[in-house]
Amino acid sequence: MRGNKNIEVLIQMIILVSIALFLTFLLVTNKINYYVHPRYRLGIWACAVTLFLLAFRLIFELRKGRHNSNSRKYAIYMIPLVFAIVFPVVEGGNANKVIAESANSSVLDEITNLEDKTESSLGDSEDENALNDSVEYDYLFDEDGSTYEEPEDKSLKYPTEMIDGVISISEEYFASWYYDLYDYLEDFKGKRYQFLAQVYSMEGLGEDEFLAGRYIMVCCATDLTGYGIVCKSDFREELKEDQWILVTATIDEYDYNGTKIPYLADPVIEKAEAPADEYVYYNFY
Amino acid sequence: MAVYIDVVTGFLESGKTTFIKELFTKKRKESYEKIILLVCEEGEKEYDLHFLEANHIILYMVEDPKEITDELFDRIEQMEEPDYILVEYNGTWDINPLLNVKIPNYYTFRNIVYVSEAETFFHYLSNMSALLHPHIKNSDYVIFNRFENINNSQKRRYKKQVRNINSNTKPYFLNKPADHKTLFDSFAPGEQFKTLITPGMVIALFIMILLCFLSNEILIRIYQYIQEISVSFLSILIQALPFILLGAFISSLIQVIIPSSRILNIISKHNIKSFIVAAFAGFFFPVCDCGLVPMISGLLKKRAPLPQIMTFWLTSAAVNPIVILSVLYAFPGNPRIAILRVLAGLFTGIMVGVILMILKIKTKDVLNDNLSFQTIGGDFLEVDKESRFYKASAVIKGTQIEFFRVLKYVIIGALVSSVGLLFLPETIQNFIGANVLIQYLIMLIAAMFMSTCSTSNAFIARSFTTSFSYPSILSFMALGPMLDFKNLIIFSETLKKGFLVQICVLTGVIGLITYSLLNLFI
Repeated sequence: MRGNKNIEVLIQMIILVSIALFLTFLLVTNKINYYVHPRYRLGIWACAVTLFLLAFRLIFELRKGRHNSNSRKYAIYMIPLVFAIVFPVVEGGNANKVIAESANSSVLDEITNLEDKTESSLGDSEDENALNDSVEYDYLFDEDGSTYEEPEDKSLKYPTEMIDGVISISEEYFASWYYDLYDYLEDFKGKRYQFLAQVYSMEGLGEDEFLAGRYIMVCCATDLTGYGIVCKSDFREELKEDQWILVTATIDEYDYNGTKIPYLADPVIEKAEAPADEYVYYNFY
Repeated sequence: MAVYIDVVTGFLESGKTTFIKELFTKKRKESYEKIILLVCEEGEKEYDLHFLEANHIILYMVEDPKEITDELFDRIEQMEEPDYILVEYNGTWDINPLLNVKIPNYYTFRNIVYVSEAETFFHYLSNMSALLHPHIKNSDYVIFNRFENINNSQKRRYKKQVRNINSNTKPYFLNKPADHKTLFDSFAPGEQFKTLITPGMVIALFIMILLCFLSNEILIRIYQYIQEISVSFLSILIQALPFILLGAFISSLIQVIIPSSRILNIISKHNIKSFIVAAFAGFFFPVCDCGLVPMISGLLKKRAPLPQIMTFWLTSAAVNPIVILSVLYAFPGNPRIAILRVLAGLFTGIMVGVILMILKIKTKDVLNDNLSFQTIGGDFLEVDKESRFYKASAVIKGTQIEFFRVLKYVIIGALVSSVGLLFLPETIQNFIGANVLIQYLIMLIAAMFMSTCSTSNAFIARSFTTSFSYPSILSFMALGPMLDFKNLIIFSETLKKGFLVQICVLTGVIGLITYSLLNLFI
């Protein structure tokens, strides 16, 4: 003796569980960072748990008889799962590799402190993945109200301590440092910096030139872009695409199609290990 | 040998008995040797002895839905050992007890047919949908008889209604089942063979063969393209999932808990105040726009007034605190941009709402016809109403229904957007330095197809600053969430496509006015 099977409920359960498992897999393996900004982590955890609960609730409906259930209409929910399995995300994803827009625009002249305002709230927590939004908002409102003075020389916003004449730019500063570098090149010129970067090639560069940069994500993988600074090296051929390097170089300027852009002079390039987070995330709130 | 159970259901006088009799009039190659006819209608003795004997039918009468039990089928099996069971089910009874019975392993429910008189069908459907719905949902066929007075457009409407309940159910207009060969054959004795090759399989095979002949280089290129689309697609989807779930929950909450009249009272006074309230309501729902769409749909299903709801929807992104913050941070030191973005959004949203009110467009005119079955009123949730947690479990079940419904459209929308994203940025580059009107149009198209979340599109807009003027960037930010193609696809589940086009054109035109104003003052 048997009851009538409820295929529809079974399929719904499978879909819910597999989406939840996929999300959990991404979260546990940290692959989620390739897709979306870490600030979504908490929401996605909540989502995965809720989906598991919804699937669990369906167990009680499994025994409810159902005839002529339309299982074909559920094929569409399989599309994301098929994509996720057949085309797994790779580092770099769909990013374009570019140099930043130059500072000609009036707006960009005013673009300034994107990250340094939030850095003190972020800096304390090494595991900033599970960002506590409310704390940050409070911080932002306080900061907006207070008299925060933007330094005249933008390079002073970043660490100035030198070790053997070199300033080290850590990952958390990279994005805003990079933008400021393009907008206020004069302030940075002549200073020697060290930072972790990847090797990007771009059309329009010389044979021994490449971009030393990082992938920067604002919101999710659709806006992921590899931003780099032009660098020249005699060992260009030995550097592979996307290879991790530790660059030590002096900021200089370079004429690129008529606009002045930063340039890394006298570079010393060492091979480096990939960091835990391959991308740099833009924390604006 | 399998024993099939066929069920013919429908209201009294709907023509079930005629249908069953017709099944036996035309001679078949094979015939059953022992048929059990289970009649669940009270008292009606419509089958004469001659008919029963001629077709080897044994009649069983069931007069109470409580008699539909495992034991009944057990008894039939023990006593009669039939090779076929035909059930004439009562349309006013719940069909689930019948489907829930435990039957011997070699018994199978084969066909369930819902029979209805064509002329009364629509009347029953609109007044007793909770009763009809489960019957039609579980049916393989819906047979409309006595349809002579029904015109073709009405027939199409009937068919659409049935397909909306279950797209697998086949509606037929028939007076005699023998008239339709497929239908008639599906009642034939013996094993059924279903077609194994579907059009989808042929297409898949064709594509695979095609791929075999392509060169390696092209294959790698295709793989890379799909890889890129896949990453964009999944990232849009993953990012939207928590918001969709939240939106589905709120939508379900609105539909189950809050009585319609309450919502109507709050925002249906047709004065300026109601628009102002609607315009700023978005401030209290600081979620991503894709989470708001299911909620808006939920409100519309509750027949909330259209102009105010559309104002609420269109301005929600403009007054969303997270969006305002993101604009402030994308354009630091330039709060004017943020203020203008809010004003442009508010102006466009309120204007569209006011115009809708002047045009006197009612909510029920723009909702899809099939919506009577898509609202998750307590009836369709099939949860135990006696239970203390009735409302809670209804909300949870509703969340799940809404989630599946919206997710489908989000998947389609994300797919379209991710394909668009692959080609759009390069196309935009070609129009750098174009004239003011073309700039606006480009930004409008970008807003539609780039499907960037309202909370982050300020940063995308920032990257346009070198090539586009301020007003066009502002219109990109303001119109982005309003015209987002993904959102429109999600809306198409609830709203008529014609209306969506209307609202897009309206928003585009008002956007152009806003844009010209901005051009004058900046």
